[in-house]
Amino acid sequence: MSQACVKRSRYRLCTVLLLAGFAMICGRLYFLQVLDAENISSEVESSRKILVKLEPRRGDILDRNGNLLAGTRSRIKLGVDPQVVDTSDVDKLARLAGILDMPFPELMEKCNRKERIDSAGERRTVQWVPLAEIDEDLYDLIRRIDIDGVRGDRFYERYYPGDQMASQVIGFINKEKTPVMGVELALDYYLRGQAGWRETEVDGRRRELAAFREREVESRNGLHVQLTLDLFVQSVIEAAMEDMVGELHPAGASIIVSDPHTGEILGLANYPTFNPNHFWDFPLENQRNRALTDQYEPGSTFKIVPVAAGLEEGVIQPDTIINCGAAEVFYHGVNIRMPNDHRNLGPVPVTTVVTKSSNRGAAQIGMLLGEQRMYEYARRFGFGQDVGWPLAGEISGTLAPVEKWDGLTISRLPTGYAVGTTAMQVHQAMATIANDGVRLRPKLLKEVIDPESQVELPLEPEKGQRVVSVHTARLLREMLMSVVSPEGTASRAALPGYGVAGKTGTSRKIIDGQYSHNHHVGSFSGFFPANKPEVVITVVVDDAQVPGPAYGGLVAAPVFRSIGEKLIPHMAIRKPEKWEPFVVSND
Amino acid sequence: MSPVIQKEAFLYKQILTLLVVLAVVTVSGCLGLLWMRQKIEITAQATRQLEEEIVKEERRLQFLNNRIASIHQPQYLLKQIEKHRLPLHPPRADQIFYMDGVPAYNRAYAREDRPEEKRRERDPYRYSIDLAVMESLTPID
Repeated sequence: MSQACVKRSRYRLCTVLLLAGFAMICGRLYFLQVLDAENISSEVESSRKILVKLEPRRGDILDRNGNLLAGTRSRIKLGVDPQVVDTSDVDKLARLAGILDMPFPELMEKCNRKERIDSAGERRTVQWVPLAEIDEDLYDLIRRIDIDGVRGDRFYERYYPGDQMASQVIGFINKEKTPVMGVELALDYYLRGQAGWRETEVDGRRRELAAFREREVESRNGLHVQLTLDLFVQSVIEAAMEDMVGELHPAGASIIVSDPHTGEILGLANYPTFNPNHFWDFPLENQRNRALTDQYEPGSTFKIVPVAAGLEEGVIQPDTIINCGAAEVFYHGVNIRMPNDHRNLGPVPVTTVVTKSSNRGAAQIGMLLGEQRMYEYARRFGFGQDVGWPLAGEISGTLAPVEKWDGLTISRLPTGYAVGTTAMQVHQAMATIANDGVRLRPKLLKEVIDPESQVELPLEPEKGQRVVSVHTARLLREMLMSVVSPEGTASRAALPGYGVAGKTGTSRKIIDGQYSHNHHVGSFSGFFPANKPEVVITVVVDDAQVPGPAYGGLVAAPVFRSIGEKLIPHMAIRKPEKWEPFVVSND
Repeated sequence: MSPVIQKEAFLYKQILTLLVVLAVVTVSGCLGLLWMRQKIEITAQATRQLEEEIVKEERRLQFLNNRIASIHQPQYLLKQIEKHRLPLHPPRADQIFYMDGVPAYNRAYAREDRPEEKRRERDPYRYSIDLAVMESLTPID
């Protein structure tokens, strides 16, 4: 370009303008790329990049044979968009109503609910009317019908296939996906797994661009927890409970079944109960695991403690004569009034004291032992302390230290009064006798299994604690066999040929601060075969509605027998062919 | 043509060739990158689809597991027996015979020489189908 053709001033002006334009562009670029780069890039990244949380699958709860007790399932909240659905397509909608088991007019009404009036009184368009919560199989059928406007949102929830089966043991997960009670809460650490995450990008419609995944930490599914419960045993005791409740209408009841040699709990049922799949439909108190949370005065089932202690300490022998006719006994300088007996037995051997469940006999054995030994043996058998389960709500019962005893405690404690126990503690004490005097902590957790590798994680083995010698335990077992004989208080618990050993208990409940004559807790705790115990069963029935006192031998012993009959074939418990003496020498 | 001009022409030709080669390499490189990017995208999508399939299958498996668990509940089976009026009862203790087997295997065996058909006639329940599957399972997709 020649300067001759363009005026110099215009030339300069154009040059300046051009340069200024370029400078502005450069400045803007500098601002965008350097000064504001961080903000802009983070804005872009936040709109494109997302962090996806990878949810782990909660571990299953299994019984000892691998049967599912609690699992996770997907369900679908099915709904309809009234603005989209074609209500003239009656054929499809009729099929949908059939699948949902919903009256056709009701479905049509939901499909035609196109508007609603909100709280301000204004008309609003309705775009979602819930129809039902359904399973995957039904959703699949509905999708095959292919109705525009009918769609489902998938969600995951905890599922308990046995419904109320062992519900207080297993516990449940609430709507907020929080474990509330039972094993679900206690072993949540194992069950919940670990969430993962993934950094990825999405397009304008928020669909993932899988090619732009950057970093990923995989989620780790929860571990499976295998309990010692046996689904069959559990169903047997739940059925026996149902029958008993139908007949006796008690205020509450607990049944526990365990293996005495391992301490493994095979079944544990409580009444009233609840269904964890619909926990909101039941009163809160039904969630209580009464076998661990409710204490009661055990009555005569506690007599195994003074008798075992007396035998162990050598203060009595099975044939030692105890005067059960004495109304008062001189003890430590004062006359102590003896508790009442059902009838006056007079002087009888210790075996008869146990067979006939004499309160006076037990009280005198307690006095022979003395306060300190009586208290120590009660503690050794596990009374006054919790069994150490991590399940929330477990109580330790009440066993006052000797310093807090009044003058009558020494005569009342051996009879099972002045002590508060849980059904589990009574069961544990009876299992100690069945296990030749070694107390084992009741065991509920069998294994923890990694679902991916199927590797079982090692658990620390439990150590037993010797409470009484083998000799004492077997002597007592022989005595307890006589309780279930026709002369004993628990003849209704007998399983002919199997040699049941056990002890009944009947205690009066305290109503308005006084012992009631009409409200009782009847119980029976026993095991069989007596010479080689394979199963321990404890039945506690609270306030059974029967004419007269609800004796343990009347309300609980038949339940024991009913359960025992069903467990014999299941557990392959063999009838002892010949009864050889099983009491070992004391030497 | 003078040697100088020849040399210059050769130089130009070399430069031109170089530019063409550069252009070809650049274009083919870009196309290659594009192709590779597309392949990555296709593979990623396929991977994602597979992941979705796996999730779907796991969901289906879990559904079946839950359904199997439900229909194997002892109470449910008892109801099925009642519903179908089957003459089935739990065994009584006196119906059970214990056999002492080979200690090494800790098992007992009963010899059975009859052909299978005969055994089926004699012991129909052993050959009957699982009670649980009498409730038809609707396959899910």
